[in-house]
Amino acid sequence: MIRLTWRQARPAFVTCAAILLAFAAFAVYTEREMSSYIAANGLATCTGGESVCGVLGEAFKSKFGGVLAVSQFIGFVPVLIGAFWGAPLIAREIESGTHRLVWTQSVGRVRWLAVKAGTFLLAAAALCAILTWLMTWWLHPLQYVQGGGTVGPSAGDRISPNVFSFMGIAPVAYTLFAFCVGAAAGAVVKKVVPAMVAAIILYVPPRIIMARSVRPSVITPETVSFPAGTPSPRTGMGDWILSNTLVDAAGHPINVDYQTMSAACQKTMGPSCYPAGARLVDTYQSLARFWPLQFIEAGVFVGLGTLCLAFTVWWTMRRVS
Amino acid sequence: MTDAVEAVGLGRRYGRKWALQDCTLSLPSERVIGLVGPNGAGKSTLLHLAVGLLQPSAGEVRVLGRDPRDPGTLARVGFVAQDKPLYGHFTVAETLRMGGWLNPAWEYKLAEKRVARLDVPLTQKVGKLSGGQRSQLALALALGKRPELLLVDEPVSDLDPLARRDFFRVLMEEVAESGMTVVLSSHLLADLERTCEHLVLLSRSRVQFAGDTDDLLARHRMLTGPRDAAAAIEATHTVVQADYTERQASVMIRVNGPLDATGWQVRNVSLEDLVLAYMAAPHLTDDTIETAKKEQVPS
Repeated sequence: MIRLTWRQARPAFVTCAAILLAFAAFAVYTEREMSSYIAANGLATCTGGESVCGVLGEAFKSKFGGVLAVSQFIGFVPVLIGAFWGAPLIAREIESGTHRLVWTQSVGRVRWLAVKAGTFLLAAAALCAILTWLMTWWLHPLQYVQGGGTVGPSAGDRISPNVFSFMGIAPVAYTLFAFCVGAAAGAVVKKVVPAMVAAIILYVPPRIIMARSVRPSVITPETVSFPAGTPSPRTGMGDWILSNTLVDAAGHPINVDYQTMSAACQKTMGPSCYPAGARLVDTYQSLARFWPLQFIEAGVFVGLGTLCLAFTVWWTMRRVS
Repeated sequence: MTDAVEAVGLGRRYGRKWALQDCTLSLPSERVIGLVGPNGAGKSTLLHLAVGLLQPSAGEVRVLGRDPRDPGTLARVGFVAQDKPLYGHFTVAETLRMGGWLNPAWEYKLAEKRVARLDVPLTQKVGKLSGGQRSQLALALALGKRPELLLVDEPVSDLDPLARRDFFRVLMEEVAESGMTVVLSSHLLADLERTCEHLVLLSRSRVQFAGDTDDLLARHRMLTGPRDAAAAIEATHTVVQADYTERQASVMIRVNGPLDATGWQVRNVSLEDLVLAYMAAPHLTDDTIETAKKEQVPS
């Protein structure tokens, strides 16, 4: 059975390996370019303050904008795996009638499914792990320029939503989930193209719900309060700021109309521009929570994937044909 | 000896519609069995139930005395589905090797020998084979398992006459060598007439009759004679089909006891006539005929 699976999967695996190699070559080449640019322009050690370093950062971003755009494509890897590997896993066999061939040989349907799904799952996990590792290495020069124009040595902001889902173990979990949801859709719909569409549609909502509603508050966020108009004591610590509120001395939220401030205030936003005793309260997840949040995220999606896989097995055994 | 296929009250439903209903039959071992019936009679459904591709909605089916879904059973059963599903992007050689990947008792050399008759290189892609070659390859794949029971769904319905003849020739040689049980389904009796020793007629999702072909032929007669004498014949025997002109009657009967046919011209029936006559009279089944006979006895 493993040889049949390998024979069936060969074209897909070879294609993916080729894409991965091409991508790796591109990553190595552009990483060299970015690193030498940063070294030559002193971005890594910039101490000139916002005005100088910000300009350097912007220059970097406009030079390497194309590279940064490419990096966003990794977000599509799980959904592509779900649509092109997961959805056809069972649907293609049923659509072409070959399930009548393989399911009537001496290997049972359970073993057929276990070997086939297992092989593709392992390959998908490996592919995504390699890609994530490659991305993390590739984009490490960016730590000097990201985070709203702050430039200079920083702790990075890998916990911020822009980056969080491209790092650590979460992408692998997304991929496993996407594959399993695709396989389940294929078993139910029994047609490849509709199953691919269903795989994409079913994959997106859990991701959005997780990122918008669960991840910010699954561990109770911390708060820090400091006099309005002064820099936060946690500046440069790589926190994921969820919200900031302006409060008066008694702790009640207040509003300040920035339009009515003096021209000087609009520029500096110094402490004297706020009502006396006003403080800013930041709600944040600290960088130290990167791994706990990664494990929670990965756990949730691996769990969802397992449910989908169990459903697929059950449906294939009981309901299909 | 265990029956090759045994069904009791077997039924399969799609939504509200029954594709096969209340099917009770036993198919004897070491025979070549024809499963005939019009399109939509439930032939494919019955075969799919027998190889575990479908689960029964009612009743039970046993194959070689065992549960058909058990992989141990599937190792002993060969199945060729109607559209001869194969992987189009595999080569012929890969398809034959696949038989070995999926079956413990696989005879590659034997399968290769069978395929050698196809006159196609082993490196040919399956997707480029002709209909006849594809059927032969599908058959070789099923035979390579050395099955005790071979089920073939509509083997020749999409083949030209020459390819049909070749298909049956290969199949019959194999049967003669191995003594396996073969079940062939078709909506055309002509496909099966020469090869089948046992016949099952399915219509409207039920078994209409089942029996050895010699037996069936011996139990039916075609009578031609004066119309006024027809009533006497009809009283004791079951009329399967009747054509009346003003003076003449020509009836096909199922003989229920001694036949007094003085004044009648008696002919044997052909299997094709028999099946056509029964298909045109779906209310006549083995069951209804037996019931009718019992009711006649007291009166």
